[in-house]
Amino acid sequence: MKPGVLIGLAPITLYLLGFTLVPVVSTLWLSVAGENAGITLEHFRRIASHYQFGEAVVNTFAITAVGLALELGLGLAAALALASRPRGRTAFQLCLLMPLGVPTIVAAAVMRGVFSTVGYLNEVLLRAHVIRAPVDWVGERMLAVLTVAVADAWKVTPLVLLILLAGLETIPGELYEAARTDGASPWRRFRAITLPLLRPALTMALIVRGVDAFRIFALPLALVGGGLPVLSTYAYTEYLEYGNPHTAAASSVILLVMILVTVLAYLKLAGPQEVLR
Amino acid sequence: MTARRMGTVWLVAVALGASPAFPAMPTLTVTMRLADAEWRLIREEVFPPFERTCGCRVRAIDVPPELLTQRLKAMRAAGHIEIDLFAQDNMRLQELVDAGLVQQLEERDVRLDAAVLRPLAFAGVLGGRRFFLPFRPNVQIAYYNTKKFDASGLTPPRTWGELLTVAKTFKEREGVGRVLFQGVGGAPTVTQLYEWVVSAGGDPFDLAHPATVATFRFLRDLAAYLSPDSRRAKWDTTNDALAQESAYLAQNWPFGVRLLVHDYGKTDIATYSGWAGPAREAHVIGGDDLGIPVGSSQRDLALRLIQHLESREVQAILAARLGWPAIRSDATGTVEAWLRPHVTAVQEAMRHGVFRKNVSYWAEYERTVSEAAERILWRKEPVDQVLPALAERLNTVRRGQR
Repeated sequence: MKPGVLIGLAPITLYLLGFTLVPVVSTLWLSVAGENAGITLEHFRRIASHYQFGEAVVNTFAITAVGLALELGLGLAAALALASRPRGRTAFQLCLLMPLGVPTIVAAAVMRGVFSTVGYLNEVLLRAHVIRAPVDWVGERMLAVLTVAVADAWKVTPLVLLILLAGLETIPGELYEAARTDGASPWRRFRAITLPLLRPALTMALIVRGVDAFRIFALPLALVGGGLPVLSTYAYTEYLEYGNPHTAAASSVILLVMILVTVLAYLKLAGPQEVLR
Repeated sequence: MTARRMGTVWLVAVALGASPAFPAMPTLTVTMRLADAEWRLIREEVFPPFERTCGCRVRAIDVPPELLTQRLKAMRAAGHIEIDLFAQDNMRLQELVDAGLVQQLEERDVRLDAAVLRPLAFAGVLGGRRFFLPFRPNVQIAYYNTKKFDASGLTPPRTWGELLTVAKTFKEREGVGRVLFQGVGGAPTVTQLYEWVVSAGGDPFDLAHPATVATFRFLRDLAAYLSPDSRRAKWDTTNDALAQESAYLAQNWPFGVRLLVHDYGKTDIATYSGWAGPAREAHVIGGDDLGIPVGSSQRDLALRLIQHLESREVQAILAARLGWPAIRSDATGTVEAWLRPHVTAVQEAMRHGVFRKNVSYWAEYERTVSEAAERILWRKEPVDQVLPALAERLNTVRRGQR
């Protein structure tokens, strides 16, 4: 390799080493570090026996699954609508993309304004006489999962929309012309042309959002507090509240493994060519 | 040309702090955990006179109390202690001593004059040796929404029985609870529970004590009428709940007074000392103590800043402008008129003040009590099933620490 190329690659290599590889290795080490520089699985045993850890794992999966379903469903619907180039498309696109620019913690504050007992949603439902008393939207666990997933979807569906819209733009219009000439219904055209050709974009959206959804942090913390632990908030609490970097690292490692396993399993099922295409 | 070169060299030398004519100004790095309004006052009115007197610069950094120990350990491991003086939560002092992170203070260093309140002065002595000096005491008071109380024909509760009645009344009238308990877990929950247990006559460190068990039973009964925000309520979000009127009654530290009444204009919010349990009225005396890390290169300067922070002038500013209780009996600044009733509430709460026992297993204690609160209050698990096992776990931890 030429020296110029090496010099060019040096900053990004140093960045990856310093800010990605070293912290990951340090976290791995912290999760197994025992006394006198020994190795132990005690930290994993300890969190496994904690009453909130199992819940945190289940909640993480549940929010990811519900959130992804919402985001892909809404993102696809919006992308299809925009791909048909309706009048005022640019204005719609701008409105739909706006939440993407909102910082997560601000989004959490906005969502608290919507879902709190004195929030907009309760106010609207009370005035419409749908409910007689304010509803605690994060009081029950399943309701809390749904609320957090909806709040997350509000913020990140625009990203899915962008990926899918880009995917839709690559589908040749002639294919739809030919299908129409053959008398294919819109549903048939969607199933036979749009979905198969959109698979790479869908796979990409699923992986990008799936990884991100597993790491969800600010929304459950701000909306529900300790009532809905997820793996990232569990690690945060262990580190910050109880000052235990080892159990925090152990739960972070489990989160990392969960993400890797899920992405690899999906790639195995969908085929890596979908991403590489 | 030569003159220009000389000038350039001189400027570089000055910039590097190498000029003998202008020696580099010593910098004292101080860490605290304060609210924005508190930082503003400290930076604008407390540090500058000290900087002028000592000819130094004070670099103030916000460090949360739960991170200070870890940060000092990391600095020690790196062989470079960047903190010269810290103000630390008075419940997290023992862990600093146990980890050997704080310097012992000799009596000749400590010039505590007679005006410093004795109980506060002795709080910095651990295991018979002095490591810390008092900076500010703190105590939680009860905030209530006068407009909502008047509309419901209620008066602020003074006993647990009255508290339950108030909580029930609001829930029945509005369909949702309006009394807030800081039930998020961690320090806010544990601090509040500590004083409730003491008010019941229990031992906060003995989860099997009959009065401790009675406290959890009462809280379980109360939980049905609490504001839903209780589950995520901590010190900062309690202010939000009071400001947005999703809660009408809550305990919190006095820092919320300036924010709610002065900054947000919520003049409907009034304060008082709080309620008594079956045994007595009790309020945890929190606050911060000052300490010098082992390895600090500015020990003398740090001791001078401690004296400044404990001086009558500074304590009077903090009392008058922030409503902080003073550590001195002679720091009676002119409290701003709007702040006076709230200062009275703080002083009344201080009269019922209790110091928490400093234990080295505080983090584990906090985890255990948080679990008890979460399972009993929010998951509705039976008190008799939850507490015995947790009491045993806490005993095991305690035995291990001895």
